[in-house]
Amino acid sequence: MFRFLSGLGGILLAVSLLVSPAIAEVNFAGKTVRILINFGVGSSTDVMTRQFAPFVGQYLPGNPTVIVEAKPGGRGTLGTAYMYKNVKPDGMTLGGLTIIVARMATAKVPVDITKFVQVGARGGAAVVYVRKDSGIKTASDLKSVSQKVIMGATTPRSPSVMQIRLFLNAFGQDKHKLIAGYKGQLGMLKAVRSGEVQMAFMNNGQWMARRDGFTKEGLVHGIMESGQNDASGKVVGSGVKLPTVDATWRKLLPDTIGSDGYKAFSFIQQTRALNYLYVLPPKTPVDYAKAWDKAMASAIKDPGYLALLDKNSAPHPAWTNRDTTTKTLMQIAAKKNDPAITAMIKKISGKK
Amino acid sequence: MEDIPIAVLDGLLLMFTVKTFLFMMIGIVAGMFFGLVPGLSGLSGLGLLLPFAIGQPPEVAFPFLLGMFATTTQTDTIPAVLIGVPGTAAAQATVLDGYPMAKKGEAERALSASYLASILGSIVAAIIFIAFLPVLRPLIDEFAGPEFFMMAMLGLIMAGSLAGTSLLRGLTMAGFGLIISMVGFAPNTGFARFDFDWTYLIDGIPLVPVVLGMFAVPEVIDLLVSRSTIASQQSSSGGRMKGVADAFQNWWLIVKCGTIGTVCGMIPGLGGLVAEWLGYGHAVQSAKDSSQFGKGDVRGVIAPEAATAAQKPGGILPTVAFGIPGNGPMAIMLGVFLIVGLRPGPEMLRENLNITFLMVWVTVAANIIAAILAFGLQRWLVKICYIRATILAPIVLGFMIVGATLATRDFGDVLLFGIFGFLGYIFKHADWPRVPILIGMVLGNLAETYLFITVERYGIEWLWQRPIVLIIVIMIVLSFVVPAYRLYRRKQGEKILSGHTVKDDME
Amino acid sequence: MIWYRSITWWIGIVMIALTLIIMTESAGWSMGGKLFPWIIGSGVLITAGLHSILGIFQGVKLAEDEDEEAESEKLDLRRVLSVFIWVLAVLVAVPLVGLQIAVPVFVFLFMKLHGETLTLAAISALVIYGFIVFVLEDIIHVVFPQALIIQWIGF
Repeated sequence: MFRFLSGLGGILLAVSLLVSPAIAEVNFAGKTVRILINFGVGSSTDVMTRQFAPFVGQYLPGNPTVIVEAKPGGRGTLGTAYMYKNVKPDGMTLGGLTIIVARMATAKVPVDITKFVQVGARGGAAVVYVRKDSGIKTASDLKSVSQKVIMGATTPRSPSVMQIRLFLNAFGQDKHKLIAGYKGQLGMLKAVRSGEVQMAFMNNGQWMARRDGFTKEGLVHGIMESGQNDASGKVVGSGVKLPTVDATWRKLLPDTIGSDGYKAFSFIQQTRALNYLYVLPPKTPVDYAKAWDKAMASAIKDPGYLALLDKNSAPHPAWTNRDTTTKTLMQIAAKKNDPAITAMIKKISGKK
Repeated sequence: MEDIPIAVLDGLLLMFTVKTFLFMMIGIVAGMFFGLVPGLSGLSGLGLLLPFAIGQPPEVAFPFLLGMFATTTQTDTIPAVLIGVPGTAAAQATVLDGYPMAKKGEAERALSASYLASILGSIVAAIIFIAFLPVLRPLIDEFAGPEFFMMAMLGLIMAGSLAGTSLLRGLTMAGFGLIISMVGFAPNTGFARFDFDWTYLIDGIPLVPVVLGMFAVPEVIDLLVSRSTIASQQSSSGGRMKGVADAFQNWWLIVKCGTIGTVCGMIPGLGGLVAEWLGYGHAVQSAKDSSQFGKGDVRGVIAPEAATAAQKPGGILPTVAFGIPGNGPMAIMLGVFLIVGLRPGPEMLRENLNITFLMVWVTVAANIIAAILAFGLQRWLVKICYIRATILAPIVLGFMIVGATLATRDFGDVLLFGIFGFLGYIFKHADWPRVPILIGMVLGNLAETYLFITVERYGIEWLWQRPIVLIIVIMIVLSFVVPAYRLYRRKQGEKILSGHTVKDDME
Repeated sequence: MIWYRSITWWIGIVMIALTLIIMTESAGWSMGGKLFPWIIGSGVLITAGLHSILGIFQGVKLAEDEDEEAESEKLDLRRVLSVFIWVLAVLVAVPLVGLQIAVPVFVFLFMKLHGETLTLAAISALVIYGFIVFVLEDIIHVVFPQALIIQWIGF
């Protein structure tokens, strides 16, 4: 009963706050704030966020404890919807929404993510790797390889898959065969190991943690990475020391740069800088967003955090601030209506 | 690899350092709780305990989490046997015979047998792990789409053997379970289907509310209607020791089911639920007299418990060897690897081999310690079966609703719980078997994913070109032929004895 | 029991109908999308179809009732109905007012109205309340969904 009464009290308090014009001063002293992620415990997002969370607390006003809560399901959409509809706009819960911008760009998301109060974003990149016995040593071998490349995927609609298929299609439609349905990047790795598929994807953090093992074992090697766009829109490497798909495309097929395929590719590429989108629920006072933005930007450069990343040989990430994030997000939302891009994405993402 | 004996010993000694042992004990007690409460499981427990493990060195973090993870399958038997509600999904098969045993006043026997079976099952897994470590890696790599698909088929065939009165109804229900598993994202196309545009269903129908609804609600209703107690007979004396003896008498069954469990653990993507049903199905099919299964045969408790316990140490292997988790909870462990700065992959089998064995030892030790603790509680716990309905039923129903909501923490869980509770009641009384639905749900995704992958990648040649596929095909054929032959022999025997024809017996 | 009145038989018909819906729905999908629904659907049509046909000609075979209670159960329809209403009531109440309130109140009311003592009912309700709020919410930080009533009034 106490819960219920305190809930009622909370409502009354909230109503009275709405009436009074005072703006809340951001101070989390003595409180516990949470980062709500849209993938499960043990996922890459979870591991990354748990490593990162303690450093964020140090830079937030009042140095609160930061806990991580996973709300997985629906390939990231359930957590996103929960963040939108069920989380109170009190600035205490930060949503860390992985890959949701790419989903918005290429498919359907149940809520309008541009309506969140944006905090900022962290880029993410994927590595394309192949079995050594496939005969593909570098990306340029893809052009000359005589047999179809067998590519593994979680779903035909994952952004990495769409991007690489757009790229491979530029060589000619019959250059590859897609086998979809694997459970996550590790499910794909299992399929690569058994020889069922020759090519698959892994995010750059996972790749770096495993690269030495792969080198020792000699079964697979990386050939390209997606990279991510910097603030000026140029595609740059994410620190895994592999050529980007974009650069490879420009080098190998310079005459297809104006094509619809490349346009769609670049469109998806643009979402990579917002791979991990950080948001607060709609109607949260902007001051909270600013405070979180500042704390995240500082924490990502914290020497302790960087040392931890180095221990796992993980690449150092870049932070996209609130303004740039909002701007990029709006651009993506607008470009989504471009008929040439829509048609291309529809074609590449397969049928129900 | 030549240092295996040293690492085995080193891992064992490591377990007995003060801090490690202390954390392991905390983990075990937590695990007993997570196993006991329906709706909570090893997976949710790991998520909740993870924050406390971060910051600890690997030799403390892993025993803590694994101690928790390994014990849930010990205590999940307790509600399964006593009130017919599995504590975690891994005790679904245990309900089939454990609960009827409780009704007959043999709850203590069922529980003791289950604890012992789990301990022995985990030991079987540890032995396989140590003895075959050098050769297991290539074997796991042999498993690809066709093998996964055939394993799923093997499991579905089991559904037929658990069909009850009518084989047709059993198979139809397995199909119904497979249809339920289709809700949500289609694995091969990435489009959501049959979700009625309801966000809650986009990820599919969660298993926990379905299991709790379909099995617990009919029991609660019947209990209330009959106004009786769960056990209709007085507790038989000496049940505890009888259960222990049962486990030792069925040691060969435990070895076989332990092996099944270990293999299911080692092959990423199969996991505990498959292990459980394969174990149970194997017990039914290999029994000379299978007529008592489902009515309180102790082998029906021993087999799935041995398999699920063995699956856990088994799941460690692909996780450390390839960095590919053997099951859901191991995915979390893998995350812990990265957080504490250990690299999964070949070096876990070289430089950090002692940590690997520490993990195996902890799962065995946790099973033993949890069993001892549970033994102590047993005397009081079994009294639950003798509480009258008007007290027990509302409390059980209350806990079930809470448990169902823990699945995804959405009121959709409550709705599903209600719908499947209603269906379960009808199915129970109309004699449509409910177990095949679960098997269908558990295997649906696996079967669908790999059916498509197999057809797309290998065409049709995989059916005769792959050795493991052939082995599984033989197992499937045997699982049809052997029980049929046994049944034939028995009917023949009965015919001679009673002078009736077979047809008379059927009617 | 006459075959066409058996609920057992009719469930088979419902299964066939459900399968037909699934198959029609997926008919227009790509190969990857419809492969599984169609294979499983065909299987169910065969098994459930055979069940229905055999049911007409041979009657529906049921397990022999081993419990004697089963017979008295059928007679006491009123009691079954009352239990169903209780279960339905608590399932509706949970989303409305929230788990934390609905479940203990249900336990209390049910026990009280079925002749248990006030003390026992109150203690049971308190135990389950304590479990939900102190163990699940406070100690292991389970976030239960918010009651619909609070959602409607408040945020």
